[in-house]
Amino acid sequence: MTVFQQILWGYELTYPEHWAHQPVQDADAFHEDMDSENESLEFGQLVVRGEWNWERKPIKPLWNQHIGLMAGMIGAKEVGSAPWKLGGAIGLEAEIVLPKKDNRRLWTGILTHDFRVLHFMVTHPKEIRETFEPVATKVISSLRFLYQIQGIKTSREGIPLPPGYEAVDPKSVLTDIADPQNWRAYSGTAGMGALQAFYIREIPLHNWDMEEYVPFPSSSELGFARLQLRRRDLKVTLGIMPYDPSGTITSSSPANIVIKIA
Amino acid sequence: MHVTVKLFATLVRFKEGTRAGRPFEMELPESATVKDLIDMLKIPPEETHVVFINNIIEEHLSKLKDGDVVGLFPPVGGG
Repeated sequence: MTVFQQILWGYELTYPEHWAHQPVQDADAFHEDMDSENESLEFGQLVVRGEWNWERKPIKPLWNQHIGLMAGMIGAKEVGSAPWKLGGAIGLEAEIVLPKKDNRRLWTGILTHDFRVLHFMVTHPKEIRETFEPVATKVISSLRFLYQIQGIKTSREGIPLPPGYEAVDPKSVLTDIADPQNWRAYSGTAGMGALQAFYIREIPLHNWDMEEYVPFPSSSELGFARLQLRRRDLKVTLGIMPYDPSGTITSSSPANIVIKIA
Repeated sequence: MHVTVKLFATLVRFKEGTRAGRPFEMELPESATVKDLIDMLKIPPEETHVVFINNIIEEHLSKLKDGDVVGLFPPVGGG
């Protein structure tokens, strides 16, 4: 068995050796390893996507939004939903009826836990149901939310850094700063929501006090997420700065990190 | 039992003479919850959005124990 840790969203899943993990945009997909015995496109897969729910929206509107998006994407109809509890989280789940011409089965569910929402989708051809579903069920049942994750790298000031983020010239992210020596910048591709989930969990664990936090999105016109942090006499401002080549900024847009040392 | 409390952002107005993140001690009955603590501080529940107990996010109904460090944070702090 392989343990996959989603360090940004703070959860882990265990999947069998003949499965593989593949990041897909802002989601994580798990499926049978294509290099092993199943080489056709007719495979089943589990997709998990996180959403930052700082407003603590209740489950029902989150579910309606989730189902609405799915229906729009694949022309599916909901056939009812059932309460779902797993790993200390609560949610809703449903089997989705696909258009008759589609030979696949689709199950979906969402779970909320503190400020995180996890969206699940399992899809597979009908003929592999008996072999695929028990394995997918077992993988989902292995879900565990993480509170402390070992091995998080930090900046030289001790600010935790998300995996995959590399130091860059601060002026490449903030072109108008006059004192680049007081700034740090880190570039990567994680989404706004995932980065906020990461920092809200990791900041206190790295012994920083979060004195202020302006989430994104919020009623603020700031246009990015900002955290004011203090550790003893050191005060820093951390900005999670979204960018999107398409020009449309959303809560899942990729973001860079900037840190201003006071 | 004794707990250490830290208030952040706009919540500092509920404790005279404190500043964001400055710890202070409180005496609570055994088996008190975070909600009991918030009530004792006379903070409207909707103003405490995040609760950290010993640096880990917890819920308002979480039980406290002697020596815990509790951080309270509002929905939006800063502008």
